[in-house]
Parts: sequence; structure tokens; C-alpha cells
Amino acid sequence: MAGGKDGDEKYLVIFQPSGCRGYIPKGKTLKEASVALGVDLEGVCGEKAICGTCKVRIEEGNFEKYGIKSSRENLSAMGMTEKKFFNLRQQQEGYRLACQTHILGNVVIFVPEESRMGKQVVRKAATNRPMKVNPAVKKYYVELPKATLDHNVGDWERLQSELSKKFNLSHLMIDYEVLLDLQDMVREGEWKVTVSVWQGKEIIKIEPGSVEKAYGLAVDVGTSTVAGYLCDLTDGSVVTTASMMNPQVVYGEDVMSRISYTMTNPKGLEILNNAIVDGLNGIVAEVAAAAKIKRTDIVDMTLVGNTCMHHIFLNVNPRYIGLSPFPPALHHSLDIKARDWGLKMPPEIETTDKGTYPPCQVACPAGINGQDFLYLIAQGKFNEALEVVRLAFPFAGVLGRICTHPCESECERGKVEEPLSIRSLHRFVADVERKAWRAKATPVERTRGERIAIVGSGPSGLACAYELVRRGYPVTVFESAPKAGGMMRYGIPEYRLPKEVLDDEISYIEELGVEIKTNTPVKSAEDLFKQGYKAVYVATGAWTSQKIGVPGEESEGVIYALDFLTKVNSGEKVKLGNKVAVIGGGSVAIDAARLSRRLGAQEVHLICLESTDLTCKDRMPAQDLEIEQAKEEGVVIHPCLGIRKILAEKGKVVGLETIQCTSVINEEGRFAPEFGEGEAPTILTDMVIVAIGQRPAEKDFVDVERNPSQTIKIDEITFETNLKGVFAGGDVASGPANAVKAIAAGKEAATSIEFYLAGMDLKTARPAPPKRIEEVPKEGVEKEPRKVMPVIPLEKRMSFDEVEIGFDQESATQESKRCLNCSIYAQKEVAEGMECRNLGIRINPGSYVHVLPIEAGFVGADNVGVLIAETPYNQDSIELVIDIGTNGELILGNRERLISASCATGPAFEGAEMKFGMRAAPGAIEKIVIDKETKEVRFKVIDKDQWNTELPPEEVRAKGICGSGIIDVVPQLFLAGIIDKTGRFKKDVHTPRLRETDGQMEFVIAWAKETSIGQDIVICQNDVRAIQLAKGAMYAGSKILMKTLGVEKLDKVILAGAFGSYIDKQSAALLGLFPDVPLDKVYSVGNAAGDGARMALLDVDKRKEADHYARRVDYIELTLVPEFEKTFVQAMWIPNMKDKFPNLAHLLPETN
Amino acid sequence: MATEERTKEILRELHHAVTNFEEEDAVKWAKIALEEGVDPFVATMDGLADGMIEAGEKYNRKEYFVPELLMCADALYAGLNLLKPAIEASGRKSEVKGSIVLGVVEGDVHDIGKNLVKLMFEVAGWTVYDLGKDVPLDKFVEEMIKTDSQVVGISALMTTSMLSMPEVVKRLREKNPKVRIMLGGAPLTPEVAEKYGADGYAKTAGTAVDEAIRLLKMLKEEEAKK
Repeated sequence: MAGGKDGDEKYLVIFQPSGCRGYIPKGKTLKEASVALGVDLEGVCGEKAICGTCKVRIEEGNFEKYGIKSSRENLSAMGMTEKKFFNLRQQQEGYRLACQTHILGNVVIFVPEESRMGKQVVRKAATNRPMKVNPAVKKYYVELPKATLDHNVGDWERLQSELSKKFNLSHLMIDYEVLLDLQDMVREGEWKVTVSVWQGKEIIKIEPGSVEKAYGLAVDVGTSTVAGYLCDLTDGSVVTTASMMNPQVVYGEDVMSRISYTMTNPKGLEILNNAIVDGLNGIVAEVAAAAKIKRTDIVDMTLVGNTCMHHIFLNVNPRYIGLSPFPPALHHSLDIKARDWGLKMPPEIETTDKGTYPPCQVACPAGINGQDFLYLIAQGKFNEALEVVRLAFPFAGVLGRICTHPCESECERGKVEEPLSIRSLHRFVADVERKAWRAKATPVERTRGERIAIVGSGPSGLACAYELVRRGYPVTVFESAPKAGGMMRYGIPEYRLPKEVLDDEISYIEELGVEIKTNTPVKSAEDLFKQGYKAVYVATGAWTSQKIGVPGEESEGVIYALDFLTKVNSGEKVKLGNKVAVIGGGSVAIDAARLSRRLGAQEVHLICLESTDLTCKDRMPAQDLEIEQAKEEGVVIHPCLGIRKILAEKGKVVGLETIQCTSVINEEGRFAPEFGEGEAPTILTDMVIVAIGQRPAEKDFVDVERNPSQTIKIDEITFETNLKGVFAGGDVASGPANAVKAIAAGKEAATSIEFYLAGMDLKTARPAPPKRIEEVPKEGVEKEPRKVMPVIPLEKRMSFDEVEIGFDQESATQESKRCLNCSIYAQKEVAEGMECRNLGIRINPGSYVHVLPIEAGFVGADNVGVLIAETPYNQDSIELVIDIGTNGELILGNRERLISASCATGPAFEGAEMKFGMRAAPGAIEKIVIDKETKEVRFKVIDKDQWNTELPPEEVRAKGICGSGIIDVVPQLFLAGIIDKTGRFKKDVHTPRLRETDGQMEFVIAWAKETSIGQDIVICQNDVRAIQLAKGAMYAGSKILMKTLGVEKLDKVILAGAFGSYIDKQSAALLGLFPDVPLDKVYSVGNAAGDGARMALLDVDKRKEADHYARRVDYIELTLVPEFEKTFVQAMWIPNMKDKFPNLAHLLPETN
Repeated sequence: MATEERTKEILRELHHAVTNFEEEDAVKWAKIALEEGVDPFVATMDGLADGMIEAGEKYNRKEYFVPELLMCADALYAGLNLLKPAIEASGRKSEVKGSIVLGVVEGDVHDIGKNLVKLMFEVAGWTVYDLGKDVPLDKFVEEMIKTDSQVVGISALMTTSMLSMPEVVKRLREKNPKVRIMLGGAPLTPEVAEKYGADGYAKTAGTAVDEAIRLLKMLKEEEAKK
């Protein structure tokens, strides 16, 4: 009921595939709803948006069955904390964290497999039926005569002639794509190949060498569950079985609701078709992995399913089978190439995340989703693009200028011509916002109590603060300098990074709620804990310059780069000589050199160990572009030189004596310079700036353990120090690195701090590092050069103006369009050979999928499966085959005549539409016995070996009642005298288990203490009524069939279906599910439909049999039979109003 | 002439015969009523029909289910068969409370629910024009005009067939803006009925008549205002 009296509004929330549903008060979270409704949903962090395991997907569209329109609008908006768990695509697909999402309207929620706690128990195990092996696909090994100059007929003709000679196979055709592989395969196998021939007609696969094994997959697509049986086609054995919930369940639990979904939602059929194709591909992948074979080793496939599942699988419109007279589009069996199905799939639906990511994202230490961000720029959505960057870090403007952009070196576009200018595009989106006017950021709501101290306001400290403040923590940053920013402020010159850009981005972090205390040095972590902080992140950087250690270093005129940069960046005046020599080859050295030029040095020499050949192992560590710009500005670079001595006169620097450097990096990849004796110049200078590295200062944090190099000792994954609750990262722990690595460390530390405060394991709870997409096809990609970053003219370079101007809108948009969209290839598994272009059923692409025929209306291919498995057409005795599922089907007869019918039993037997009904899963009550005298209940839960009475109540953990329990409960209530034969609860029975709630009688099966849902599990009057309707329909159908066939009694009853083998025969008989028959003539055969699919897979003759008998079974439309109503009504009583049950007489009460 | 007390007893027994679905008792007590001079109209309305109304209430409370309700109806009709000729002979016209067109929508052949609804309307003294099952959309419109019925009741048992209901509602309104339309059937809910443009919805046969009366009252009030 949408609406209600003020304040108590409730909305319908439906979870799939479990089918749990109920009305939940407005404002509750989906996680709270899942608990209230008994849905299994992961969640380890206590609903704090830390673990990200409670991911769910919100379904959109009209759900006529429930009378609701489900929409993402019916939920609270996604907050910042939540956003970081999802990429753009997942957001677009409607993914949310259940614990953060509040209910504001009616919704249908899909819980993906990985978010489900108790995995579904799918009861479709393969049975042991004897089966003949004569498969449609057989393998033949042939050795071909080599092609020579005298014998140079075509490969195909050569193969044809050998197959004809050796196996008498003639008039063969060959699958076109197999033909394309033929030449290579023949040569790879050195003229020995194995061919797979389908139906003796067509070659569907060629493999080099001799291959004996052949695999096939039999699939049963049920309304609720899908099962796949991987079979060895050479001996008929079942290699492995896989099953899953039918992924279409979310769009409707029964076939009618799914058909109406296709009728009322645009693209409804496509969505349902994709759901099942994806699901089947999941099964293909699962069985292949379990059997350790390739998916393409599966060379044949058969499929059964009811008429609706059959139509949707084939992408055939099911709307006409949804309405009387229910005609199917076709009856005949079909053989369709596995690959063909995919062709109808619209590209936007091919999005199953396979856990690989675009190379740029994997390469970025901060994990920026470059793909989403580039996509948005290409769309002109600059602000949205900036928000994507902000999911990862707050420094789009800063890093957009100074980042070492490891993303670009990995960019796949680089293999076409040049990588994208990913870094400069970050800058572009940041500039767009800053130039337009940035609205003040909204402070993040504080949801956590634990205060966190961060020491150091450089990139690492601020990134950590930014992460934590967005997760709701109060964060204080302590900075010893007068201004925040650390190396970004004091280490980088203005012409590379204007201070206003940095100031703006730091303000943004402060606006979110981070407190920054400048001029506040911190001595020890203990001080902070005393002030009440619960965790500390130390990111104080590396500020002490390395000494070069050569004679003359103490001379006047020798300074250190960092001191120099800091002074200049703080606005202090620095007096320089005319000739400046900078020692070092990294970014700091380049900055010092370029700065010297701007401060008036006439000559600037840069002397470094490394080479200016930027492709060799000993290259300068500074970035290409800055080296280039330094040269343009007149910096003279002297590569491959070490310093032997600093020359001084009267204590003042006059020059440098150098030495040749022959190698910098040794074979193990370590820094180990070697020097040679060759001639090396002496460079005259009046000032030396040493820029050969920095290390952390020693004075602070005496309580943390350090490495010999003065860096803080940390765990490399968790960033923990030796002190509990103290974490460290950035340059202080790693030694001098770069901003993006420092940011990455800050983010990781934030995760650790959060886990630490939540008491979670810091290692196991961490998400696995992302994997890179292996291969991105580049055929057909036209070359398009990278946009060149515009710079200010050389004559203006001696000012402090920013050198790089930045892209304009047009260049930025064009540049971003160069992106190859690698994530497309992350969204689906890229498969062997041709498959990546054929997105249908991913078995051997040339193989056929054989779809069994349909009998009539709702008696579909699944029933044909049952038919060929049970073969009543070969029997003399009169058999009634009942296939129990969401839709029940009946076959009656023997070799003389067979008739069939379909009964809409509804999903009651599958647990749906019952107050505490559930599908078979751990926690489901599967067996129930009620004591006639005491009215006490004994029951068994699926994953427990003992009955509830043998366990302490708190260990029972029941959650609901599944199909077999539902079939038990009504006869048990009846035999115990709790309900009468009409199904009505007897109010005069005295037991605390029987009670009236909300005007309805109900009987308690499990007390709250025996459950995991915290409430009594009951069977209410409505539940009994629903079961009566379902079983009445089944019984009446059987009865009408018997009358039509003219038989008085049954010789045999066969119970088939997903849970057919779990049903208690006696319970089913007492319930009155079928007419009287001796109990020893009732057989449970399990999933006969699946067995039929398997038989058709293994034996071509079974396929012929299926085609033959499917047309010979007479279909009876029950609703057209005049006495159906009366028969149905009588069959609702327990076991029946009129019919007698001599075979059950000893069990039934005498009055019956 | 039976005494007042005896009349009460006879009515009570007729009522019980229906609620306990005792066909033979219903026949027996209908005969007694006629023999002892009880007004056949009173015997029908205050005896049999009164029992059926209670049966309907029990059905609403889930105490009775479809089979019981239909058996009550069997008892009702068994008694009625005797009493009806006597009412006709007396020339007394029963007051017609309203008329309704009923049917199961096109493409749907499930009509047990609709039959229960029909039964309850008849017991309540309504004239019912039953179109049966799988009824083409325009047939509802035709019948409404032909019979000048103020209420139309449409039923569907499948989510697929239910989808044509809005179209029927639209066509009915085009021809008669004042018509009161009620929907019912397993896949419907009050929200769906409202969305489809209906005036009323009844979850069970027992509540359908009350819902129809409510709709008629609304109609009369609206007209009185004009």
C-alpha cells in the first residue's frame, strides 16, 4: 500500500531471486528490509559502508504482477561514501549498497550472486538412468597426405577425400568459420587433425592432432532454476553439473508475469533474453572450469524448457502464449548455431563484469576510473567527469599538472600511435570548474564518532583525510608549516603549479569538513592519543636533503634543492650567482634548474649520472616533457657524469670536477652507479644546487620504528607501523616518490584505519587489486595523433607564469574521444578464437544448440524431456507422470494413447506467495512432522543433519519453509486434527501453537528462538488455502485426464520436477496431489526434464523419438472441460471431497 | 399460519441449512415453510439468502473456502427451487437492488472466481448479466448499453490477460461516463485497479457486493448534488 496515515507510510519491497517481499516503513534501509524479510544479504562491516559486500541492483520498470513500478527514484540518492564502491557503469545499471539506501517508494531489488550469503540449493542433480550413447557430434581422427608440388589439391578437398575413404563420410559440409581455421589447424597438427562432425553432415570443429574426448552440455531451463549437465559424449557420463536461479526471476516469478513484463516494458523481451543467455553462458563457463576444459571443447548442446522459457530463449515473442488459446510460435525442434543467438544482443546489454579493468585504471596508483572520466568529457559532461576524478582524489587540478601519469604509459592507444593525454584532461576538467566558479562543497555528515589525526598536509595526508571525511569521520590534519600542501606547495614551482589551483583544492577538502591546523608540529603519536584521537596517520614526507658526500660540499655557494625551492615558494628572496650548476636528474633537479633561470642565472648547467636517451635503462628519472622544456629554456644538460669534487677558492664554490658514469642501474634493477676513467669535464660555476634526493627528518615521531634510511617501517599492504592505531605512508615511509603514489598510500591507509576502527581484519577484508584487461583489439582503429599541450612562448618563460596553457574545450573533447574504451572488453569475457565476436552461447561457435520440440500451449520442451526420459509410450501400465514446478504438467497413458495437460499451480509449491515460504536454501524447513497428541512439531532444516528437537534452539536457525516442507505441512496439520478436511483451522484445538493474528488463524511451526529471523515461522489460513488451490488443480487435472482416457485407476504415479525427488510420497498422497494409488507404485524420479535433455544430447535417436512422440501426445485444455470446475472444487478438500483412497485408508482418520 | 416463534425457527433452520451446506435440510425446511404458510419471500430472503450472506462472510474470514461456498450455494438453490414458484404465484415482485454486467476478460478462461461473484450478487438481489469467460472487449460495452446497467465487473486471473483491462475501462467510459467499474481476480490489487482507471476493487466474492453497493451510493450522491 503506497501511502497510509501520516508517518506510517509503507512500501512494497521485493527481493529477487529469493522472492522475499513485504511492506517496509518509509525511510528504512534496504539492508533493514532484507533482515525483516529474511533475505540473505552479505554485510560484514555492520552497515557502515566499509566492506561494500551488500551490493544490490535496483530493477526498473512496470511489474504488473505486483502492481508496482519499480524505480531508482524510489530510493534515497547515492551519497559520496557509497559512490566510491561503484564505477559509472554500475551506477548506470542501478547498483547500490543496501545498507546506505533508504526506501522512499516501491522497489524490486536484485541481489547478485556475490552478495548472497546462503547460496541457493538447487535440487536438480543428475540421476542414474541408463542411457544409450550415440551422440549427434562425433569426432574423427584423420591423417592427411602432405601438400606437395605434385599433389597440391586444396586442404578441404584433401580432408574430404580422407574422411570419405576412412569413415565413409561423404557429402560433408563445413561451417564457414571452421573453414577459415582449416589451413592453420592442418599445419599445426602436421597434417593430422580431429574433426567434429554433426549429424554426419557438417564439420563444426577442427582440432590439430588426435583428440578423443568430446563434450556436450544438456540444459534444463526451468522457470525458477536452470541446470546444466556437462556430459562426456564418448561414454555418456556426467562430468559435472552446474545450476543457478533463473536470472529472469527478478522480472517475474511465474511465466505469466514474465510474459506481461515483455508486454509492458520496452525492450522487455531483449532484457529477458539477455538474462537467460548470460545465465547459460555462466553455466557454460562454470562447467568448463570445473571440468578443466575450454568452453570451446563443448561441441554439442541440448535445451529443454517450458514453452515460455523456450520462446524467450529463442527471442521469440511470447505474448500469444500468454493468452487463451495459448498457441506457441512453433512446435518443432530446432537446431541453431550457438553463435547465432548473440547477434540480436544490443551492445549496451553486454555488460557482465568479469573483474578486469582498463589498463589506465589499473596503472593509476590512485585508481582513477579513466574510462568513465574520458567518456564523460567526450559527452561534454565536464563537471560529471570531475566528479569521477573526485571519487578517487581531490586533486584533479594539481595532479592534472604534476602527475607522473603512469596511466599514459599503459594506455592501449599508445599501441596505435600515442597514448591519450589523460593527465592534461584531469587538469582541463578542474580548470573548467575553477574558472567558472566553484560552489562551496557541502560538508559531509559526520556519522562516525572516532576522531582521526593526520600528521602532515602533503598529498598523502590530505588524500587520507579526504577519504576519511567522506566516510563520515571527524578528521584533523596537523601541519608544521604555515600553509597546507606539503611538497605540492613548497616543492613545486609556481610556473608548473599555480598556488591558486592548490589553494582551491585544499579549500574543497576543508569545506567537506576536514580541519587543518597549520603551524602545529606533532612530536609523537602518544600526544595525539592523549588528546582523544583514535587513529593516527603519519605522512610527514621526506624533507631532509641527501648530501652528496664529496670534498668541497661545505663550501659557500653549495645549497640543497629542497631548501632552495621551499624558500622561493614561500616568497623569500634568494640570491643566485650567474652560473648555477644543479646536480641531479630528477624532477626536483629540473625544477631547481628552471627556477634558477627564472631568478636570473645566466647559465644553468644540470649534471646528472643518468642518460638523456630516454629509452635506455639509465634514463633521467625526470619526465620527458619537463626535460624538453628545461632545454628550451636554456638549461644545459650534462648527462652521464658523476661529481668527483666541488672546487672552491677561499671557501667559495668555483667549479665542479666530474667523472664519467658508465652505468646507473645494475642488472638487478638497483641504483648502483659505476664510474669510468674516461675524460670528464670540469664545469665552472659560482653556485651549486644539490638535488640528489631527500629522506625523512629524524626529529619527529621517536616512538615509531624506522628503517636504516630513516623511513618509517610499515606493513606494505596495510601501512601499519609498529604502534597500534598508527599508520604511516607517503614519502616518510616509502622514501621520495611522487604525488600520485603518496595519494595512493593515503587512500590505502584510510581503508586500513576504517577497518581497524571497525575491528575488521586489515588484510583479508581488503578488496583484491584490480586485474588488467589482457587484450584490446585495435583492428580498424584509425590513427589520430595526440593533442599537443599548448605552452606559453619562450620569451615569456622567464616569468613565473604557468608554462602549460591547458587544453581548450574542443581539444579536450577531441582528445578524450581517442579513448579506445577498453572497458568494453572488461565487461565480457574475451574468449578464444572467433568467439569474442559471437556473443551467443559460448561453446564451440560452430556447434548447434538443439532445442527440443513443444507439445502444445504450456506443455513445453521440458515436458518432452520428461516424456523421452520416462517413455510411457513404451509401457503397458497406465502411468501418470506429474512434473511439479511453478507450472505443473501431466502426462497420462501408455503405449496405446498418451494425453497431457497443464495446470497453473502457481508458485506456492516453490515457496512463493506463502507467509514464510522460501526456495530451497540453507535454513529452509524441508520436513515437518506434527505429533497427533501433543501437537508438537518436529522439523528438519536443509543444512542440518539433526531435527530441531535434537538441537539447542539457537542452533536450529530456520528461516522459512520450502517446497517439500510445504507439501508435508498440510497433511500433518490434517492428521493431527488441527485443520479439518476443508482446510479450516479448528479453533477448539488447544495448543499455544494455534492462535489468531490479525483476524487470521495460524499455527506455529518454529518458535522465534529456533529461527534466524527472530520471529515465529507460521502457517496461516491463507497459506493453507494457497496449497489447496495448487494441489486441487493438480488433482483435478489428473482426474480429468483419467476420465478422458477412460481409466478408473492408476497403475503408477511418477513424480518428476526439481524437487520431485525430495517430496515425501506419503505426504503428497495424503495431501491429495494425485488420485489413489498404492504407495509403492509412486516413484520420485527427480529432474526428468533434465534427464531428457541429457538423453537427447547423448543419443540422436532420442531426438527423433522426441519429435515423434511430442506430436502424438494429445493435449487437453482443462478449462474447456465442463466438469473441470466441479472436479477442481472437490479436489481442494483434504485429500478430496468425494473420491476415496483405499490405499491410504490405514493412515486417514476414520471420519474421512 | 405458523406462530411467530415457529416462523423464526423455520427461518433459522433454512439459514443453517445453507451455512452448513445441507442440501437435503434446505429442501426439507423449504417444504415445511410452504406447508406451514410462511411467506415464501420472507423464507427466501431472511432464511436462505441470509444464510448465504453469512457464508460469504465466513469466506471473507477464510473460514470457508471455494468448495464450501459453492456447496452453500447448492443448498441455497435447492431451497430456492421450491420457494421461487410460490413467490411468483403470489405475484410479489422482489425489489431489484441494481444490475451488473459481469465477465472474464478476453484471452482468459478462468471463471470460478467470477462465478462466485455472480452468485453473491444474485443472493443480494441484483440482476446479473453474465457474459462468461474470454469476453471480447467490446462485448462489455454492448452489454452495458443494452441492459442499461450501472455497474460493470471485470475479472482476470492471469497477469497477461489483466493487461487489456485498462482498454475495456476506457471504452466503457467513452460510452457511459457515469458507469461504475469494478475489477477483480487473483493478479489484481487495489493499486492496480486504481491505475487501470476502475472505480472499485474487491478481493473476494464476499466483499464484491458491498463494493458494488458503495459505488452505487457514490453515484447517487453525485447525482443528488447536481
